[in-house]
Amino acid sequence: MDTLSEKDKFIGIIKDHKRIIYKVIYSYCRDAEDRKDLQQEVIIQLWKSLKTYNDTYKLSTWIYRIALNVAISHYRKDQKRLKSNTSIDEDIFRIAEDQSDEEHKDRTELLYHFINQLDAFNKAIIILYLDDNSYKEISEILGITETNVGTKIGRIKKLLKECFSQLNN
Amino acid sequence: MELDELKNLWKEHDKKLEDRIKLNEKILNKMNMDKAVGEFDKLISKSIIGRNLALVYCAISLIWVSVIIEELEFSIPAIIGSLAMLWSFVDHLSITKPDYSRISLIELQKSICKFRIHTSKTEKYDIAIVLLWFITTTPLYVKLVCKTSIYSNLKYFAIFCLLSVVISILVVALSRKTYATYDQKLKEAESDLEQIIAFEKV
Repeated sequence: MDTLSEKDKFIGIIKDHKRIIYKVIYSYCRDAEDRKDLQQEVIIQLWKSLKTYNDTYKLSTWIYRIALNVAISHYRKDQKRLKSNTSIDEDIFRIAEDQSDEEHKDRTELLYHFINQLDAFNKAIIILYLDDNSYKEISEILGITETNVGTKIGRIKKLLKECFSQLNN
Repeated sequence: MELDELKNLWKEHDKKLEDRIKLNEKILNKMNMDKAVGEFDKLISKSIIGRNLALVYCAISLIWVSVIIEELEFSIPAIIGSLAMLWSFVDHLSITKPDYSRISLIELQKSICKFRIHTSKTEKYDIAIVLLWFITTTPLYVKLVCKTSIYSNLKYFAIFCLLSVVISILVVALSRKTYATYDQKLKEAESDLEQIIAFEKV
């Protein structure tokens, strides 16, 4: 396969999974400028890892694993306020303005507000859980046992209740 | 709000995203991804190059030593310098590039923390090793290339001593500043690792 068709195939994969990549990036990085850096990092790692992609894995699982791995590394760096040099000025993912009603916008904002309360690993768990991944898939991506995944989701549920009761108060 | 309600909200958001997100294919086509290197990969690559250079410096010293092995005032210090370089190479053998696609989040983050702990701990010694190598190899180099013994030429010896002192002062002065940064980095990496280990536990 020549480089051009390999790139076309890659762009096709990114297109098909743009929502996964976008949600991971947006959940870990709220700053627009930092997001450009993270988008670039994720795309580079996906491209580099494509050569060793093993099709016994689901493509979406493979994308989650890489995107989350890169996002968590970036998040830790971002937390320490370290800036990197970005070589691109444009966004890889362009997001059109949300035409939904105010209520939907508020609810989406609330959703990300809650996700932002969590630490890097719990954030990964909640993203994977909300995207309908099984406990087994979550445990494989994170590298913890299924029981542990269950326990942590239970804790997140508790945290969610506390967070919303605080908001209601 | 329950987690299931959050899930419905997420699905609703996900559906709307499909129409809202456009992939900037132009920029993807423009990006030279074969040559592009990720931020962490850059750091690892730099460390691997540094590690391999230590082996090259060790080999250079040993080759030069082999030429004048019998002149002990040159060969013994140079052997010490080359052994220090060899030790540095062996010490950094554990550095490997992470595979983002094969290892789990926990494993990758652990290996990143371990790498940061390793580099923060050894950066101090690496500066001293380079300094030692420079001081022990320069007399040998001058002897081989200029055919002059630093030890028997007062002018050369004075220049060498002065240069060594200036470099040492500079290194120590810089180190004092950077040691604080290394210690800070080390503390942060150790705390990150502790957090990951705590997360792994049920």
